[in-house]
Amino acid sequence: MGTVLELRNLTIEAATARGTQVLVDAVDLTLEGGEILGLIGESGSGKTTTVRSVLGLLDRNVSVASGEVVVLGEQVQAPGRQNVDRVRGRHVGMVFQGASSSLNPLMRVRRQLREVVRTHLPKLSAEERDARIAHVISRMGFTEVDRVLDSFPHQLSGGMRQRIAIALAVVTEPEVLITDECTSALDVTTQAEVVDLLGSLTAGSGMGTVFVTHDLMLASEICDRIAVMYAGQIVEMGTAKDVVHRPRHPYTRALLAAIPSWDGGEIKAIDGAAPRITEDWTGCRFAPRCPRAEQICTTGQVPWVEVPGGDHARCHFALENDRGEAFLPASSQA
Amino acid sequence: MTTINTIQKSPRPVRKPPAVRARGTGSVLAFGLPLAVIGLICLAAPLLPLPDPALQTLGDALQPPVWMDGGNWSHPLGTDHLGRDVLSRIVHGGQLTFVIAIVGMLAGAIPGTLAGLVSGFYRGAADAVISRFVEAQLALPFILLAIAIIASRGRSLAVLILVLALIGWAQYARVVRAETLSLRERPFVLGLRCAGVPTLRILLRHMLPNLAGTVLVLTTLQIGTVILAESALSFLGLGVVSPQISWGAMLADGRDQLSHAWWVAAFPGLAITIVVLLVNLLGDAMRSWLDPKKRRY
Amino acid sequence: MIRFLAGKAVQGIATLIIAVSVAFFLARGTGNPVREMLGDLASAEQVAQLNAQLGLDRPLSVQYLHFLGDLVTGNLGDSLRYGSSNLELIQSRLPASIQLAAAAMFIAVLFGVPLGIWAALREGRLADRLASAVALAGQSIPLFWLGLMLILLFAVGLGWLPAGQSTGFSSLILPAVTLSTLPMAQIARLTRSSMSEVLGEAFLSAAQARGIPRWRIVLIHALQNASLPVITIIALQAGTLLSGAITVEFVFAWPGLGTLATQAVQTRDFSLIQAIVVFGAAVFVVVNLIVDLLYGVLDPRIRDGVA
Repeated sequence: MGTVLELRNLTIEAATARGTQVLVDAVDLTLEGGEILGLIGESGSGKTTTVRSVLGLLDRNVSVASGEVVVLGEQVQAPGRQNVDRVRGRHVGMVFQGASSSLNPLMRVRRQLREVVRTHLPKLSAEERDARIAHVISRMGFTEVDRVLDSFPHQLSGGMRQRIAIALAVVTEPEVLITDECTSALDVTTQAEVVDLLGSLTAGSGMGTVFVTHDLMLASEICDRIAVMYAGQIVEMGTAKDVVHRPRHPYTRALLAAIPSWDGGEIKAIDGAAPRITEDWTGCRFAPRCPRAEQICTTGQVPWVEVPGGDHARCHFALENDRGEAFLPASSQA
Repeated sequence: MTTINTIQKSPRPVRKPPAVRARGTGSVLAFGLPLAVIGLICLAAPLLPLPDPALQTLGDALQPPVWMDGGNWSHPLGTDHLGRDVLSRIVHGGQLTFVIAIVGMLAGAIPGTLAGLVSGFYRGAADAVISRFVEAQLALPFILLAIAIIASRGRSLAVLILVLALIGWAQYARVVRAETLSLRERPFVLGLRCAGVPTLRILLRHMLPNLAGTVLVLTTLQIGTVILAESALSFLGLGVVSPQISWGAMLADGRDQLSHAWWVAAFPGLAITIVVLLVNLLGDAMRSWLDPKKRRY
Repeated sequence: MIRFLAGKAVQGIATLIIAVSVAFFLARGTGNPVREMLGDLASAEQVAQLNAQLGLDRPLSVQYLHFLGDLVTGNLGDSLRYGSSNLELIQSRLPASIQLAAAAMFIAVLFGVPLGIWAALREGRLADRLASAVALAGQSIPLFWLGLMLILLFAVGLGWLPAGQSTGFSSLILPAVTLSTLPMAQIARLTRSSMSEVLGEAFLSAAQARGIPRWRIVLIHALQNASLPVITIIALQAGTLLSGAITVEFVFAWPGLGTLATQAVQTRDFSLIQAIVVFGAAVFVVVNLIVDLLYGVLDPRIRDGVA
């Protein structure tokens, strides 16, 4: 399966009253059809800005400063250039946090689905269109298709609404599906349903999914690969297994330590807050909060280090743990 | 991160919120000052070098404004059919217009605010009764009601003020009630009640000051409404009548001269429009000044 | 929904009863119209005679009960001046009033709604400020004066349009334009504030992400969600215009309810005035009920009782 989405050296800046703020800094990402890529980070890390730029949904004062977004081999975003109309909803579907607020409250589900299909697939006959809509609804795990289609959003539960939002994103069979914190507002059971649904939609299909979340454990359950973002940069990228079990960046390790576990281990919050990044920032963004930071971390560029096994981390000490000891080769660990 | 924070926290005070406020103050002044000047000119009318507004000089009847053929500087805005000076009548008529507007506004504001306060604070039966009266008041077409009252009581300033109070009080009651309803749930009110502060004291000393902004804005906007209402009634011959002068009454005179002396009707109407527009702009500016978040409404 | 409407109907009837009672006591309880009718020169006998003739010599409470009793049976009394029933008089003038109010509301909606949408889309920019200024000016002009100025310009000056009387379509234009000013301004302001609130909602950027064309997002999704308050003001204004166009009808000598009311004042026909007041209040209450009904039709959440 080919590459469906590429972010190349993507930098996004916001013009604010206090000067230019760098929201996303030189992000490189590729998404293959059939895979789920997790994009992890705390709020303000730039993950939402990154994915929203793919569809040109940035705020008025926010713009792409350099780099490009490529969907199916075609450039859709570059500095001063935007060509998202052709891909929005057709080749790239997106699901947002809070499904209740992503549906028009005054329109029946059927009409909202029909509108999307009619917009992107105008050549379908009315029968073909309705068949496709019924099909996508049943794929979402609904049994009473007509009852759901004839409902208004408020007549459905939160989990049902989120599945409708997914249906609206995938009814056109896009090559890229972006979900932004789409499970955050749901209870655990419903969350599991939605996550399973995303897995079954993606696996073995030509569609790649970007799963944006702040929940590293949730991401590790369904993602093939994970990219960890911090203060606008990708600080670690690798297979889900490696990122969770052999984290190479101190920030990833801090994130994992902050997750409560049922074996009663100590929960460690990360001290301080993520910095506001301006153009003249030097050194590692995590250095002010990093237990491992040394003099070298506050100056110059931080290398993108490839570690044995193929993963990458943006850290001078990617080959060592927090105590400064060298990692054993991946093969001898397992 | 802490170092960065201390660098950014220079001893200079944060400037952003005051900037928003300053802009509000600016437009409050921009609209309030001309209004105050107009009001002062009208109040000082007897002191100004203007001809007697009631002086009839039939030989000078229907003189056009100064910039038209036949106009001259002794009557800058021309004269009416009885040869009375239009400018002088506008300035003198402004007195009564403003006085009626302010008294009429107060006559509605005071009972309306109290009714809204009681209704929102006590809720229950008092609220049900007051709310129904408010709705009933809003259901009555204002000018029709005014006509009905004036038709049986005759014309007088007192009746006019009563009628103007009637159009106002329901608006105050409705808005103040809504504000009070949300205000009474605020922690400080709960605290006062727990501390055993008498209800009347809570109402007058604590709730009322918090409502002052809302009432002030409404009061300002209401002055515009009252001026328009007074002028409409006087225009229909139901408000101010000769020999007293108000802008609406002047318009009624001017209507008959419309085809051959447009200035008699045009200038008093222009005066009403300018004053009401300034009042409305001032009200809007005060609203965004007092609450920048509600700027858009 | 039915219970909701039934409750609203009961409330409406209560409002109507209070409204007409207030009108009754304000008008009758505070003064005797006979004095106003006959003038100061009338003798005491004349006053007493007319009082007895009109039933005004009875105690106020008895008069009030009669008045209410008549209302319940739909009897609005007889005109003192014309001798015919007030209801018939109102009915004969109603078509002209409806025609004028409908034309004015048509103009108001036609310009007010697009102006409000346009301002909301350009919130905070020059166009928005301009639209707000226009709307504010519309709320500040005395309508009868605007009517006079329009007559001056288009009838007296240019001679394009007739100045008054109902003599076909061309005579409708000036009064309708004049009367549309205030509702247009209010519709524009409310559309703007309602739209600008809705335009910030997440489901619209979700629709954008789905590739829905911008015109559909603004004119269908956003407008639909912003429409409730706008429809309310349209309905209420339409109701008010029906009986509240008095000064404009007066200026243009339009043979509607407003002119009937001013004529009634001139002839001291307090019975007819009272009937028109009752009619106006009834229209207001009915329009309110229609608005409540519309809410249920337009918003399924209100229909289901969840919002």
